[in-house]
Formats: sequence, structure tokens, C-alpha cells
Amino acid sequence: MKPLVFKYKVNNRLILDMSWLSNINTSDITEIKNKKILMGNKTFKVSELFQVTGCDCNNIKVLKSNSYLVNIGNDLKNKTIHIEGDAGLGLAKNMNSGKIILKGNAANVACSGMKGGSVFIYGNAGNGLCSLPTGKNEGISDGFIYVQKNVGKNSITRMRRGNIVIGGDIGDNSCYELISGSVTVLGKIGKSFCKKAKRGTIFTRDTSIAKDYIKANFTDLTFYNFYRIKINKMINKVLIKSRQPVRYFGTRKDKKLVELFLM
Amino acid sequence: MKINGLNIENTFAEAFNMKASRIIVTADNIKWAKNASLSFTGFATSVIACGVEAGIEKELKKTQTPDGRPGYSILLFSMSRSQLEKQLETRAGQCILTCPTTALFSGLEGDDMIPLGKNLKYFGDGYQISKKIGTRRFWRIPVMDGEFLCEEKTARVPAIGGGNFLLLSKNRKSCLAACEIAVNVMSKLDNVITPFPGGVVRSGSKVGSKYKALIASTNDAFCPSLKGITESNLNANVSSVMEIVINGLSKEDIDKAIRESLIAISKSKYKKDILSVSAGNYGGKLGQYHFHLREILK
Repeated sequence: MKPLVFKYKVNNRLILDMSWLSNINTSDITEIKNKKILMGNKTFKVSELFQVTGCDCNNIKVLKSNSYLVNIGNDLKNKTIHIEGDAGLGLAKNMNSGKIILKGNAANVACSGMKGGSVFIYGNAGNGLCSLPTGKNEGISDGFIYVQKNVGKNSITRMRRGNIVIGGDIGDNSCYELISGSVTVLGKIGKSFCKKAKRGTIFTRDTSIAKDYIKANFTDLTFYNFYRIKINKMINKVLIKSRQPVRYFGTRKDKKLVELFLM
Repeated sequence: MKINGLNIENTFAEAFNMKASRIIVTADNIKWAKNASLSFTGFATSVIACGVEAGIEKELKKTQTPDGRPGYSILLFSMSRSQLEKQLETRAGQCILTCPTTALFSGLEGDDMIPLGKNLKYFGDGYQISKKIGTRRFWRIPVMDGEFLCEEKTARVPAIGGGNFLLLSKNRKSCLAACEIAVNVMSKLDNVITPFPGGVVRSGSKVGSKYKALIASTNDAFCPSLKGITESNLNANVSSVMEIVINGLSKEDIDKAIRESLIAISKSKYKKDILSVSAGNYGGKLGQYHFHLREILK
């Protein structure tokens, strides 16, 4: 089946809530075209805003996307969404499962409250990646996120589990109250990183944060190499190259079981 | 029927429904992966007394394992889910967790999952670390040489146990040599194991016994030393019989193992001493699968 393609054909500065994309459960293209959505204070048919082709509602493509298209992949379950262009606020918000591939930048609060699935952002992500969603206490409770470039500040709050790989830098106040999970940052790390963390594993090249952790005298690299192979396979690229990282385990200040691999 | 001069009797092997699981054991080097695997598969020849039937399926190269280290894949077979679960955890805990440098992974995917490291994690006494990657969860258990990395669950799949054939030979030396050829061929095939020592059984059994306590006893019809005094299936020239028992994940896997190993024997120099190839069955009434030798070799 051909993927369901939505080519955005409007050029204005009005925000369009794209949550409806996650709820398409029909392959009837007429029904999809006639679906009514709200932009600004007006109601439009989908076909008035998008050029729609294809029929596979589990494999969706959004072309010519921009940062005014918000909440793409909100509450997503078992679908794949390819986005060409930027994505607005709330990309993959509360996502349950499936896959989102963004070939562009993600605006603020992407992947907030994510519960599963995988998100690949081939660009930058704004502030508050995996930040706390309204009424919830965990910024991400599971899933896989890859950001090819940089991530803004106040990102990854109260991460419960999952795997996040950031190819570039991460802003200040990130990984606040880390509960568990694994975060890889290949670029520089901002100020106040990993404050009040309880557990979790950090993979980084930035030596500036090492002073807060206790150096492990012995390093068993079974897990590290297993993780390296897995992540490189998931990203389909040899991103984590080092085979001899230095391992730190436990925070100096309060002896929390946070683990750091300095690659 | 003759295959390259090797006589194939018109009979069939009778095999049973079983449940199987596959695990992958890795270590810093192949020596320690082997130590762990041999220990794990020890005393696992027959469900009659061992709980499971287990064997090394194949050696895995660094590129074939999840953690980039050499290892082995092991298949376990059992008649019941509970036995499979119990034996898997017990053996993993005593033979793999204890063995230096090893790690343990699931080698099968499926919907029916059984615990692998799920309960072993408690050995970590609170210092164990959970890592979930994709849909699979792994446990890192601190041990004295570093860490024991273990997958939480593995899959349980339907399988077949008890596929077999018997080699009837003029002498024991040729019989054993031919069996070794067969086992060697099967060791290169995926999805099958030969759970007995070296892959070969000399004590084929029949159902029942003159002793009430026993459910199985020696298969006197195939014992050369009893030819004169029992209703024997052996002709005057047969002086040694050995059996190869094959467990596999599917009927096709066992068919292939029987076919390729018998063809290999038929091309060997020992075929002149192998008087015929037979198979073990119980009249076709007990097992759900029948492996007709001649049909397999057609």
C-alpha cells in the first residue's frame, strides 16, 4: 500500500493542531479529505490545507511541514510518520508506540510525556525535550529518541526509562531528577546537568561533568559494548565509536547510583 | 530402499510435541563461553530424568552475538512450560551467572515469553540495574569480576523432540564412526540439537519393564547380545546398534537433519559395515510426529 501523504499547501502563520493525524484509522481517502480540522478560528477540510494522496493510514508522510504544525504524533500508537520540514510544538507528545522520523528541526517540548516508540530528529530540538507534560510527573517513561544535532535547555526532566541519543550539545538544566534510563550526549553539556538524579546512565565525551562522580577503579565493558552495538544499529550509523570509555559510578555528593561513561 | 548402497528400512521414528527455547551465551573468549555452555547443557539428555533436553546448537562469531563477543546458542526442550521455566532459570543461575565474563541473551522472539534473568536479578541485592532497549529489558547484576548482563525474558516456542534413527552395524567401531559423521553434519545445521553424550545413544529404550517401578527399559529387540533369547529385530550379522536422537524446532528441521546425516554416512567409508538404518517408534500410537525414513530420503 502507498503511504498516506499530506503535502501542506498553505503559507500563513496560523498554528494548526495536527493531533488528528494520530487518529486516522481509515484508508478511505475521500473521508480523510473531508475531515474537518480547526486552524485559527476557522474550520477547514483537510483537502483545503493539504494535498492528500495514498491510502496506508499506518504509514503517513507529512511534506512541506513547518513549525506552525503542532502536536504531530500526539498520543501516537502503532503508526509511522515521516515529516519533511520542521515540526512545531509538542512533536510526539505522549507518544505510545510507533515511529516518527523528522527531517528538520523540532520546536520546544518535543517528546514530552513519551511512553514508547521511537523518534528520530535529523536536526535540532528546542527547549524542553522530554519535559513534563501537563498533569504528569515523568518527562519520558520509555522509548527511543535520537536527535542528530543540538537540544535546548531544560530538557529531559524526570526520565523514568528509555534511551536518548543526542549527536550535538545539550542546554542548561538538563536531565533534572533523572530516575533511570540512558542518555548519550556526544557534544557539550550545559550547566546544572543531572541535578538531583537518582539513577540512570550517561554516555558523554564532555569531561566537565566527571568531577561530580566517583571514578570506578575497574571497568567491565560488557554492557557498554552491548549498548554501543545496539544504539549504533538502531541509528544505522557508527555514532558511538569509543571502545575504551572511563566509567564513573555514584555521585560524590550524595552517593546516588548514577553511572557515567566518559567516551 | 538403498541410498548410495546404504540400506534404509521401511520404518519411521516417532516424535513428540515439546516446548523449546533458545539462549545465547557469550563471554570474553570462546573458551569461557564454552565452559558455561557445557555446564548449562550438562545432565540434560532426556526429559525422563533431567527435566529438559538441551544442547549446543552452534558456535557464534563476534558479529553474530548481541554484545560483539564470541558465544554459543543453546536449545532447550521440555514437555511442560513449568519445567522449561524452572530448568532454564536454575541452570542459568548456577552455570552461567557463576561462570566468569559471561552474558546471557534470548535467542528467540515470540509472544509466549518465559523468565530468563527476571528472577536472577535479585542476586544483585538492590544494586542491579535495569536497562530497557526497544521492547527488551536487560539486567546488569554486579558480580565479583564485573557485571553479569542478562536479558529478562526469552521466548518459548512449539517444537519437536525425539526424532531418531538407528544404525545397525557389523561392528561397534564402524557404528560409532558413522554416528560421529552424522552428529558432525547435524552440528552444522540450525534449529536442531542431539542432546545425548556426543549426540549418540547406546541405550535405546522400550516403554515399560518387567519391574513395576520402571516406565522404560532396555530395547531388547535391538540388543545384539540378546539375539538368541528374545524376539530380536536384528539379523545374525548385526553386532552393534546406536541411535541418534534429534530435537528440532520444526518437522522440516528434523527431516533435513535426518536426510543430510544419512546421506553423509552413505558417502563415507563406513557404509560397508552399516547393514541397515532403522528408527525407534512405539507402534505410532504415542508420538504426534512420524518421520518415515524412506519418505525423507526420497
